[in-house]
Amino acid sequence: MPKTKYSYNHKTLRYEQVKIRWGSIVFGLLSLVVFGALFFGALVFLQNKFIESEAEARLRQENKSLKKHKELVASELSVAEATLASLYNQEGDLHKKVFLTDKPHDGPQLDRSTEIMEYELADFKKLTTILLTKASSNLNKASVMSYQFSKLFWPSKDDVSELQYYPTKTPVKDFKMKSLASGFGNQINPFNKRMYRHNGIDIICERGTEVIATGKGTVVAAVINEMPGGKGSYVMIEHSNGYQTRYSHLSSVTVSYGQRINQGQAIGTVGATGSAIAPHLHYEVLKKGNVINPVLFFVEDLSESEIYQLAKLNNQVKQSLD
Amino acid sequence: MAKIFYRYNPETCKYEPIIHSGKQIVNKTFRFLLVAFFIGICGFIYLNFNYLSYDEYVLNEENEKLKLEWNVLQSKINGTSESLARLENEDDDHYRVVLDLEKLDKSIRDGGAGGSQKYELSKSENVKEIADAYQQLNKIQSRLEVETQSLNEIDNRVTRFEDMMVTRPAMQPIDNRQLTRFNTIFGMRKHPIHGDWRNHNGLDLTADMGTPVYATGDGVVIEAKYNGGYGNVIFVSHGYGFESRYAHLSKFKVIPGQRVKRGELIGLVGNTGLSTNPHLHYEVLYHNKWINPIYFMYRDLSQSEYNELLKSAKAASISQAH
Repeated sequence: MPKTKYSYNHKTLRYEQVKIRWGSIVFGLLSLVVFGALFFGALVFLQNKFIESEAEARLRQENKSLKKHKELVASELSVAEATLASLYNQEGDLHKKVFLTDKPHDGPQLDRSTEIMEYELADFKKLTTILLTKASSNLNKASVMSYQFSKLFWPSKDDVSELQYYPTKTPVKDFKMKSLASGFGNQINPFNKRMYRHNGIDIICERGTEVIATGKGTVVAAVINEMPGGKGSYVMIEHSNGYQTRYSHLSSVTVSYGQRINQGQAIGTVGATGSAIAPHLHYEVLKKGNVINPVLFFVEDLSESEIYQLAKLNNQVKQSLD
Repeated sequence: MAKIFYRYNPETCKYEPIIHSGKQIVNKTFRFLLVAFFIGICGFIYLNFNYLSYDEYVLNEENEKLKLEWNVLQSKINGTSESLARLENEDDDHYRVVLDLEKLDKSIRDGGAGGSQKYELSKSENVKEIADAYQQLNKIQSRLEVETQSLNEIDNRVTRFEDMMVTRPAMQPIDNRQLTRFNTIFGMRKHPIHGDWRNHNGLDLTADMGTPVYATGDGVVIEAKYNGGYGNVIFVSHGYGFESRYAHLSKFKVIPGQRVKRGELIGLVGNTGLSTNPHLHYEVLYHNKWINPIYFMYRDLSQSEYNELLKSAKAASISQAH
């Protein structure tokens, strides 16, 4: 049976073949798409409404617990933070009690553009000149051989043996900025809380820490004194050019009078003998019998900026450990 | 009126109108809907395979947001932990060294953490973020507890040190302005009365009859009476093994058992006992052994500060009396 459709035309009174009309096809397709879309929408809606996938369930649960515990954790954390803050306050009070000064903020800022390190050491200047002349003569010699070589060359400490005689090292290994309990000069006496002249620097270190000679020299005093007054057990070393160093409040002394000491050699251990109230090393540098600031001498172990920082710390008025 | 279509029937050689039966219409509609449904299903399947469901999408968004917030929380927790670690280091490396206390072992500091879980998380709540946060919080809390105890211990220690410092003899028992002669010989010397070599256990501070004598540190008067060669003597016990003695007095201003402050008037200079002229014989003992009192005088104290010491002692004794 043929599929061709006809329609009756009243004007021509004839059956005429119905032409394919694009409009109706498009309409059919469109309605199909619309219905398809409706079905699609309904399916999606139903799925969202009634079917929950495993992933969704998991996520929902996770979000729920994340939300719930966020508050809990945050409140717990704020409690912990408050406790920590109060501990920090307590620590600040402790600092004030122990050193009689406010706790400094982390690391003093150094601004070298405005302030210049004040070295007042004529002897070091002399040494520098010796070094420089030696260096320049060596440079001249070397430049004959090679320009490149001359650029790299610099005299070592051994070239100027005299340098070893200066107390240029720190009296304890791994000296830290924080170790300086109180500096040289006017400090607070821990016992009567009045200002007094502190003849050296107090370096905080654990009992039993090795004390080393800061320069080459001869032991001129090795005193063992357990009584709680004065310097306690101490060692004094004579260097060259009238320089002497003294290491007080030692718990043990491992050198004897007249012994020759090399730079960096161990001479005893840190203790709290004498008037010390806590274990620390009281270190003094003397030039012809007068005490001078030892901080400026630590040129070998500390960089210039560190010494500058230390010199600043040194000026803080604190309670000494005597 | 609906347009009637015809179909040519070759058997009857007639144009017959196409009449749709109800069943046909239903069939046609059904087919149409089936196709539409198929299209819908195809779209739905395509969507499900290639895209997340709407719910999942929303949940994921929320989850991401929450996790971001948790990250912030986590970093806060880390910050607290680091801050606490700084405090712990300060405690260990600074205060415990200064105050001669044992460092806390790492196992003690971390102890307790990991053992008892304070927050029981159900299996569904066991999200990594939450579990981690609680674990860290637990750790921080136990560390905080340890640190609190540690700081309290340090605090007690500081209080003890303060007490030690306050009680230690640390000034000259006679005002510098009233001092006429200061005999610094401690140890063996020729006795002025007996004429033989004897140990001199203290220092002689010569001053006019009736010059005030001050207690050199906080303590308790244990003796104030005439005692042989000492004459009128005051024994002050300062605790921690220290004792100071003030001999040859003319008058007592304290009675045994009385508490005295540093700088408090305790007696007047006299010439009692084995003495040739009015002076104060001052002794310092540590565990019943004599020490050179010069270590406990801090003679570089300025006059104004000395006056301040006396004033504060007076104020303290007045407030105590009330």
